[in-house]
Amino acid sequence: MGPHDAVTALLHYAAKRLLFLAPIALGVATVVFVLLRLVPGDPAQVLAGPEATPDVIAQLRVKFGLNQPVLIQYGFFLGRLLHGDLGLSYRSGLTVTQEIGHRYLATLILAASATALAVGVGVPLGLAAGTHRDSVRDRMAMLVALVGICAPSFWIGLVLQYWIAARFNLLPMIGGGGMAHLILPSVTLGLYSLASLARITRAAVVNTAQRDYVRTARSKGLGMPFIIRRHILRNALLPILTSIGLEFGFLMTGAVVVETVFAYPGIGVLLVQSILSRDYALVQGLVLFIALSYVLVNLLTDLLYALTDPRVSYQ
Amino acid sequence: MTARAEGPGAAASAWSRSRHRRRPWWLRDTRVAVGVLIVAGIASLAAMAPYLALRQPTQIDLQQTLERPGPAHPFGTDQLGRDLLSRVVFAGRTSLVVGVVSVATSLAIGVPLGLVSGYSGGRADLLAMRFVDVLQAFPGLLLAIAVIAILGPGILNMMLAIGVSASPLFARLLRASVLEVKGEEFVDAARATGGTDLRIMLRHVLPNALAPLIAQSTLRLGSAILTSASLSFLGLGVQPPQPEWGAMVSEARQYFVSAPHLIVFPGLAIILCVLGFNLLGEALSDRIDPRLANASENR
Repeated sequence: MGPHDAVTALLHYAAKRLLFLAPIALGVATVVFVLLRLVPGDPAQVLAGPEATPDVIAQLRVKFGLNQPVLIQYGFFLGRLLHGDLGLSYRSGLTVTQEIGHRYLATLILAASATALAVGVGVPLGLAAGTHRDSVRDRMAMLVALVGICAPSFWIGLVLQYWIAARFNLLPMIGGGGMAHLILPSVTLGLYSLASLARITRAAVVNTAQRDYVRTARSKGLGMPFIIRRHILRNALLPILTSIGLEFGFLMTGAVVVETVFAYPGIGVLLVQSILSRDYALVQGLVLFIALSYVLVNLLTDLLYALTDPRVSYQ
Repeated sequence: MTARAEGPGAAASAWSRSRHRRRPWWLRDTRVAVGVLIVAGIASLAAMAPYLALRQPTQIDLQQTLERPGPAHPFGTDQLGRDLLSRVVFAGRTSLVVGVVSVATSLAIGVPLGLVSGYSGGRADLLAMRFVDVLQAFPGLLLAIAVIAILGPGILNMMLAIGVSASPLFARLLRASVLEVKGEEFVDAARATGGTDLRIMLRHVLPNALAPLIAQSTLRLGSAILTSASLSFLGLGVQPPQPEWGAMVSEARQYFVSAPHLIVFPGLAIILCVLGFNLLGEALSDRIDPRLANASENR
């Protein structure tokens, strides 16, 4: 297969995966639609919020077709969705898309920097542990990683706030804005993924290091750094990449807790606020948005395989 | 994470260890010992909490607020003068119940789904698995949060929410295991002797396919407790004044800079409890299926 064929195959695969994405996206939208109908009470009242006047409710009922049969409502819902119309947030009066729009980027930046930290530290840590299996270094690293996946992120966040912000005044305690506001939330959010990636990387490296081709490479007299780079790391990459993709999705929801601790202006804080104030239009939009981003990230991860691992077949 | 570093006699002990193969595996695995110690310790403290010489966890004493740990109050007191040690111990009761009920809910949904789906195959399987795909498109806390958004915050709704959101995992796991067992000879034998599908499914396939679920349930107990602490911290789970580790940390947030013990002790309790279940769960899953080792990170 020439390089041109490889590109075509990859594009075909991408197109196919996008088609698979459609039913999942439809399913997600359906679940969200059904969830809102499960809220006790009149859906128009629920969407309009607790303080709405009868006028507003009546308007909403006509606009969203809530006096129609459920199936037709479902059709309307999907139609509006395709136009990016998720309704109004009763608290702010802004459209749900606007509300999410100017906060989505903040969460994306937070999740991305947490991922960068988790990959940048977690993968080398796992590599160092796995290539020196059962050494003191390995055991220490894995003990720390084990505690890391048991510690709740809100607690890590508060401990960091106490030591770094309150006691030593090194970084701002709460709020959003510049780089300085990003550091503590990113560390807090990334720590679980860091620990988890270190464990997965170690397992993948240990597994690969037992293969025959690694033994062959060693018996040829190749140096360990070279073997790690060329033979072990490249072959251990697949499970590591999968987890990075999954972690990124989890970080988008993990952000709910971390943003609350640090009062960071992202969609996580918005989600909790909208639940506590029963702003269902906003809840619906946010849940839909986060789930779809997660599905999309998983698609991108799958596509990344193709670039890193020629063994994966895309038929 | 296996045994401790052995020191100078590592090679010799590896050899002698192989001679002691007949000792049961759970005696050779330090994770089991530590895990059992932690879990049994927390469980017995939780069970005996009302009979220990503790103060009432909800007893307010405004004369002694925010006291540092000392002889009268080993963990100190909180912003309302309640004894923190007592609250941490009683919160353990809540967390264990939440963990067990959540996992039971996951099993109650996931087991029938996975069993029928794996056993019958075909259209039912396809439909069930697409449903599971859709549920799994909601990452981490999101599905639980969405369920709570509908039902409203509270401990019962939280257990249901955590249970529902972890059920796809159990359904998938059981389905894979059922597919393996279905091909075994004893299943053919049961069918040849005239067993009905229902009987074969419940009496022959299910008992032999359950092993991976046991390890996973133990792991999920830890993560259900972690999730419930997070949800309670957000105000979506257990509500004050009922003591719960996450809710306690949330209540103490305004005061923690001057009284850090308010968050230190509940946090350590969560870590210890989750660590115990994780150690046990990992040892079990390594034992039952080494291929699954490290594949199932808990969320």
